Amino acid sequence: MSTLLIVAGLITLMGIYGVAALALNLQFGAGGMVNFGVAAFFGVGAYGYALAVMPAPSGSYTYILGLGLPWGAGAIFGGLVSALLALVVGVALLRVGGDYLAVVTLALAEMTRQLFMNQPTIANGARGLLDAPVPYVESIPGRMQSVFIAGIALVVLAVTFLLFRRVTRSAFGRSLLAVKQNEAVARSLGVNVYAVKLKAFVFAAFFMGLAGVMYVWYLSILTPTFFSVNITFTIFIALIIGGTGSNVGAVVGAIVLLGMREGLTYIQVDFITSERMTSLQDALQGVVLIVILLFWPGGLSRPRLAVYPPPAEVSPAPRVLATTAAGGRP
Amino acid sequence: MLTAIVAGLISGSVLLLATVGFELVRRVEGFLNIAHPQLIVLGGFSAYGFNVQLGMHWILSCFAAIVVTTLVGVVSARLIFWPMRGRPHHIPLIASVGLAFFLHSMIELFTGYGVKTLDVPLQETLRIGETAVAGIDQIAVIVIAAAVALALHFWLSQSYSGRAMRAMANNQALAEVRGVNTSYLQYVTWAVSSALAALAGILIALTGRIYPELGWDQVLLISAAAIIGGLGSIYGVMLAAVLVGLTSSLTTLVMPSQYTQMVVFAVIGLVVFFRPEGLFSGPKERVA
Repeated sequence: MSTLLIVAGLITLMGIYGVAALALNLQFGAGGMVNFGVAAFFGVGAYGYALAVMPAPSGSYTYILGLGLPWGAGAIFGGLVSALLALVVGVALLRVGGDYLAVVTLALAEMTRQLFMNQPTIANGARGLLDAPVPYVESIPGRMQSVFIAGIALVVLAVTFLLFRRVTRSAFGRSLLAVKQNEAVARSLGVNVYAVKLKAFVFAAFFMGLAGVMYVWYLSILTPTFFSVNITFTIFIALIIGGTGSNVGAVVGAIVLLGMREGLTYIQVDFITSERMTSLQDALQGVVLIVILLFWPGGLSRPRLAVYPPPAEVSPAPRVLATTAAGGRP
Repeated sequence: MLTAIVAGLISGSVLLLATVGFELVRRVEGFLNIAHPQLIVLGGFSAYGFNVQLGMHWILSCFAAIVVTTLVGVVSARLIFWPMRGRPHHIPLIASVGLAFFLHSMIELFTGYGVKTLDVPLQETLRIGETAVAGIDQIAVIVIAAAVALALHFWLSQSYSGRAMRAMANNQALAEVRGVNTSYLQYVTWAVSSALAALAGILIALTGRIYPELGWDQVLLISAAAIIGGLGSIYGVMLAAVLVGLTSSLTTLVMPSQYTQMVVFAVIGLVVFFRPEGLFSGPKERVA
């Protein structure tokens, strides 16, 4: 295996998880919504894309739709399907608040996984779609293909990053931060808490779906493992390593985590079977998550949320609301 | 039909044990412990480890499993969750997910993958007429769960520590001011909760099969029971657990079993949407 392929694959993976971590950062880091169902949106986006792009079903596969759209339109379709799911979930749950969102989204991911696994009519059931469409797979020969995909992933990551930076610095992003910090105060200042949360939830879910679409490009197969709870928590760990609430942190966290994790898979030890390796990776992820939360709560890149003056200078100066400092433009 | 009801009652009783422990932690510590279902799996699998891998007698290995799981629960609380006091409540929630991953993979590494059963002598089945209704072991599960529920009732309502724990769940600072030894009671809470989880896991292992992914499957059922039971008294949660067990077992009569989870999910959705405070929430003052 050539180094070029490994590097291209790694860059693609970092792009995928970076986009997903940015989206999660808007929901969790900026909005305080604990979404344990990232995998549901990720997988639904991936399936939405594949079903929209693949031609009408024929032969041994069974699946619905098969619209035969071009890949760009299909990617947007995948994102929109994911956003639609988020709209349904958000309308039902964001009013209620509390930890119910976490539990129900966790269950949602598991349920969508079982739905796609047990219903062969939707997308070939547990066997999945083995030749999911990849852009320009015919016209670009062999190994340049993965370099091309890495290029698209980087472009998508860059665009997403700029977009999310714009959003978190806008008035909308600041009101989202206000909702996270103190919902009652935000409401008294005239923020429509429910609408702001719902908008952020749906907007971010679009990009989670897009990350799922890119994962299809990376693997070129599509199975119900896209909904596994591991994906959700890899993204959470990436965000927490990088620094919750910071867009730069989300991308940095994805790069660091993926670098570590993929580096680990190249360690060859005889007595560790691949099954045991997966278990060890899971255990390590869990430990890393706990250790970071315990000892390093800010993560690598601390967000510029509220810059309070040191306590000695506080008393005479007028207090600045934390949210006005959020955009970095006082 | 009758067997489905018995199966529902059994899964309901196991769920009752699991959910009560989950709720005790939620009320005292104020976060959802996603790792709690993994303690159930740990209970079942450590019983398997002592029983099959080390060849101990099955009753002895059940007690050993309860001890091990209780220790793991208390130590994890001491090392992970207590240092996180005072941070936003979603921090321990996410940390508990990390713990769940860790426990899950440790179970896989130590006891292996796939479905396991305990080495238990075969039980006679109880018959009504010609149809087999339930095994002795299955009836024992229901009796044990009922006995534990009764014991919990007397502990929470009569004993000093139970009442002090309810006071602590209601308002920790106030309980401390009134002379309740809160740090001791937190140990008690985690120990009781983990022991109940271990008992649930052992009962699952005794009546059926256990597998490492059981924990992730139980997360949904436990939180369903906790949400449906609501914020009121803990008896509502117990009733909800039995109801969830019965529902998920009875839906297999009319629908293929892979849709059971969806029915449970739909019920959660409806309850959260229409009665977010839960079905059995009585007056708000009653805590636990």
